[in-house]
Amino acid sequence: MSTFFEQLVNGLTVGSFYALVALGYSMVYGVMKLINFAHGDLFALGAYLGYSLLTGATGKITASMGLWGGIGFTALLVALSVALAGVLVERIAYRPVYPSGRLSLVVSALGMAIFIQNAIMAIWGSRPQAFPASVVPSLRFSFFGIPVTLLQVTILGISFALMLIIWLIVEKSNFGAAVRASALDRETAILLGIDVRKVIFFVFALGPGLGGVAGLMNGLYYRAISFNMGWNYGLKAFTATILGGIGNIPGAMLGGLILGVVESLLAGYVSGAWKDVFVFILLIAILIFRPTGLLGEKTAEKV
Amino acid sequence: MAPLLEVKDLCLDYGAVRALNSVSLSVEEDEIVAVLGANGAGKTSLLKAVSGLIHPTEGSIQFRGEDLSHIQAFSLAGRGIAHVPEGRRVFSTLSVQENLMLGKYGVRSSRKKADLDSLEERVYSLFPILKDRRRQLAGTLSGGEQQMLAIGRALVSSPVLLLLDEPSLGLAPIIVQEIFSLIKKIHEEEKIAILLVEQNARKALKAASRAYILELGKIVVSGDSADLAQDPRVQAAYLGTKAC
Amino acid sequence: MNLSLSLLKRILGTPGSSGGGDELRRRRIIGIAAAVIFALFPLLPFVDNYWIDVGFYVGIYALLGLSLNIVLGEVGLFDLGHTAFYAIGAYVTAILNTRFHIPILWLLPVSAIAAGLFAWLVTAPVIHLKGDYLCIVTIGIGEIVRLSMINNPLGLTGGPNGINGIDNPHFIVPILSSRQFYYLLWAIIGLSAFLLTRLQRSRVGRAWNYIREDETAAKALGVNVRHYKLSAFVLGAALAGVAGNIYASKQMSISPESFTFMESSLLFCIVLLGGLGSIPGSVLGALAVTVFPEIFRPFAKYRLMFFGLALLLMMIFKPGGILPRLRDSGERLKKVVETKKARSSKPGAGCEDTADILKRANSAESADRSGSINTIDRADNVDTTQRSECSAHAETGGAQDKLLLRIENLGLSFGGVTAVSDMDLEVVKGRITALIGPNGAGKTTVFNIITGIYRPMSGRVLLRGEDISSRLPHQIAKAGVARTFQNIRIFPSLTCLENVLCGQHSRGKAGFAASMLRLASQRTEESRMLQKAQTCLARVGLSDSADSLASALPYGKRRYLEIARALAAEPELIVLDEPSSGLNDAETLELAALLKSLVAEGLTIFLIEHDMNLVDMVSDHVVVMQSGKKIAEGPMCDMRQNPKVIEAYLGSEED
Repeated sequence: MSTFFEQLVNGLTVGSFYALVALGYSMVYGVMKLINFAHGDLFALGAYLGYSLLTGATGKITASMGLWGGIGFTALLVALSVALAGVLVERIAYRPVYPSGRLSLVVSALGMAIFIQNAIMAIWGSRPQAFPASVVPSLRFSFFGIPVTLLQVTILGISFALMLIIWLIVEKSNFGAAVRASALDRETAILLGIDVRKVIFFVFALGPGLGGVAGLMNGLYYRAISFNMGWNYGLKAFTATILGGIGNIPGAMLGGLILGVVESLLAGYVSGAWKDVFVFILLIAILIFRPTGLLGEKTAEKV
Repeated sequence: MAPLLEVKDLCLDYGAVRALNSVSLSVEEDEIVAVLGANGAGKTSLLKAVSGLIHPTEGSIQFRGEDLSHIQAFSLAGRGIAHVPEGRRVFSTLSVQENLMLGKYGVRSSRKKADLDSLEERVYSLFPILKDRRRQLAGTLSGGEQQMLAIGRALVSSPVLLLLDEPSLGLAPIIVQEIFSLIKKIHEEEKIAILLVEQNARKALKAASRAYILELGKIVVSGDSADLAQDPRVQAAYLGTKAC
Repeated sequence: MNLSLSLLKRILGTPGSSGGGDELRRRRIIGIAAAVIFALFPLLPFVDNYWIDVGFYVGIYALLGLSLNIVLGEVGLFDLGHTAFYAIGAYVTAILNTRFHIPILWLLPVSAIAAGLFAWLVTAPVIHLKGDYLCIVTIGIGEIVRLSMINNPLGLTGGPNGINGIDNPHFIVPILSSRQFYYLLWAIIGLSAFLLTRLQRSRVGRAWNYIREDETAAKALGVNVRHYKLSAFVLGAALAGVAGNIYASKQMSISPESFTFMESSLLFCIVLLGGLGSIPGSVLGALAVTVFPEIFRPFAKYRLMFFGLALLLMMIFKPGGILPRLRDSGERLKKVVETKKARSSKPGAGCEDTADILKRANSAESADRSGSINTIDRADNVDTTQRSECSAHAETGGAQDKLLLRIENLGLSFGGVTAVSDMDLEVVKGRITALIGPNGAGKTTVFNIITGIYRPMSGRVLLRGEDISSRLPHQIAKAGVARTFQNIRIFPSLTCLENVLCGQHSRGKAGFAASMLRLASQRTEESRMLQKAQTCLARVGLSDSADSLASALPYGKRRYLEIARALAAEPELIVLDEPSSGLNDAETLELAALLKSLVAEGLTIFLIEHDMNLVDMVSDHVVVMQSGKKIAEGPMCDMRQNPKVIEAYLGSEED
């Protein structure tokens, strides 16, 4: 039984990365009806920026601000830089291509993804890098009999806090309602005085910002990072997005967590090697049987 | 004094198709003006041009003496124009309350925003059914309720001019009746000018003081509602002219 | 390398798809030059094995590009997992060769069949998904295949290290050297391109394009969308399987690393870079994608970065691709199916009363061909009368009151909102029936049910007494119902002639083999279809525009194009959804005259219309709908007096 809970905690940790990255896919898709293929690489960029901040300053950040202040500051810097990168991606790769149609957008998104991935390689090198050991002290303790590490608690704490904030913004604030309204019916949103450009700016900043923080935490958790890690995480997070219903924001969070847990349990009980295959089969099955995702609703098609 | 809204020689093209051909009309403060015509006559295009969703090829639109042609569509809501689009277009997966709240979104100044809270209450008193359902998703409302919500959503921005596009579309006659009496009530109690686009000519002519009749993008008849109600050309615009 | 570069430059220098004869001639010269360069390239003294191998990999990408072009370019299906099919081909070859020592070239068809079969199995359940969703599924398929190869199921795939020791092919002599491989591969590419070009100019290739341009219209005009989408996947996968076979035997070892999502993305870019649906474009795209990183090898670190940037810039500045496909002119389409014998010996049987129209059609045609080919022969080819040409089931005599279409007790609602309920309606053969009613009454829904786009929840639709309410749109089209759409659904980037040929799709049968081999039966059929399409274009006065793109037509003419397309389906009943919308007064008069003459020729018309003057002019019988129900029917005059109708349109009198 303890293996089960260990797998569960591990799954939730990984699932929270997926959830944070999935939020970015889902928000952008909701408003723009566009799969941001560069999003996974922005996640990788977050991991590398975090790596540089934590190693480059040879621990100065954590030394001068204390452990938690240092991690918080690093996370904030990473979030802001990756958010900026996200906004630039929209300006450079998407905005000029909108008039040329969806296929061209896929190619420019892929082009951007290749660019970011190889820019990371050019800057940080093609070999995997390792985060400094034990940035967060490797404490283990038992939580109602379930063994957890301090790192896991930290990651889950930050992730859930972020998700709560996003949920509050999107579901409870005026601006969040405006974002959802723009996703549903852009023309009517404009009629009500919603500046859709601001909404676009928001989703392209917030989504990658969250993805960047997820990248940083992923680095802290697994330590090893590589320049092409974005593809794989991007694909997984994207699966999570579909699982929750693309464009559905609470769905993306739920989808990420479910995916992480399912994956961990599959790895623990069925086969570690085949877990990803199961995940993609699950993805296809969802698209066949419930294309609007677990939380989605059926929509009628108009001719 | 210049009218509240003045449209002059408006032409509008969709590619090679001319949707509006030199349309001129005006709406005075405190007046309901109807635009009638068959499907495809250009009524909706006219409203969309006024609220900046589509840009006219030629002509000018002035609101309170200000030329609207270079103003971003989204900033019009804060200037006192509220547009209830055809087919209601409520945000179906948002709650009734969220829909209403978004109606205030365009209003920028905070002083005015405070006044708007009372307006929200006012909307609930105009449409009590919405108050009962304010936590429900808008998509679960009936057609008539959705229309009330769409009108309410426009009202909470405290508009000077309300653009109503086919408020009776797809509604049962008894609901149409209700919507029209509400429109009259809003006009009388809130002192809002209304530009009403309708297919239901008789109802619209009863509500409006003046009307214009559009046919193939051109205004073919205009005048006082009372006169037009007797005018055979109104029926002709819908059902053709051929004698039997 | 210099050669490839200069070739690239020259091709890049050519302007976009003006589609004129000059452009065609220039393309031909470039094409021949390119073929010569590709043929001589490995023989040139300064080209070493390294560059021959680069040429080989260009070939692999070209073949893969051609194969993805079928799915993505011709049919417009977002396939971002195409590498899976390539991998299947490579692994089937590797496994069967290393285990059972089956010669590589024997495995070539085996790989193709295996990949095609796999594609059929995995895409059949998902083929109905639209756009992005299908794209995601293909990504998933790509990953499932790659991960499975890594996991070494049953010890077959060799895990992450893959399979080593694959034989070389043996074709008369053993194929060993870079040069031999190069020629083997490019010979296959040449053959594939040749066959694919034939497919492009056939009923099959056009059906693919119709789906890409507008799936709903294609369906409604008789194209079996599911069949053609699946067949594109199967054929594309089979070709990718061929590429996998050759790749495996050249490398002699394969591993999952070669079949990543990145590869699929590259293939996607190749097709888009070259130009959607363009065969030379795919080859050129492959050249660009392979040679670009080679040229920038000195900047190893940055080359892929630049590559990503280049893709992006291409999409900003040249979203149509480098060599967008030029559509074939009617003359060209005719030329490829007509043998000399057919051109000179067909007997003519023109009918007197249609002579005028024929003359018009042919004079337009001869103008198109700038007098280069014998016009008279062509005229003689039109061997049936105009009337029967454009209304297949025309009956000159017979009962006027025969019922053609009958709707009984029809009902349909969307998510609790009733669109149509208890609707009864009859359409009498040889008459014009109009369906009118205020906006939102449910008229278009009735049309969508008749044409099979929606399935009714209750009631029946009887065509000639036969219930068609559970049939698919393409079956209904074939049964003799053709339609037009309220918001005009033409195929914008095809020529007008190709648009109209869509109507003829359901009247032909030529499949893949017949089209690729250009069998005599296919040629006869094709030339009959072309003739029919040209006649129908002439019928609506659009002969002069036969070769111009449909998107270039002014609005009013597009309506006529849609009508011509419907006529080409040789329907018994033609269903028109607001045909006059967007037309001016003069155009509406013209339309009325056309509709009347069609009915005079025996066609039955059912139309939705808002312009009551048109309804007045043409209709024999009017049905009025309100809120999903029929409220009145009769002649238009009566309807105008009918208080219910007046109320539906103008609202009720009393408060």
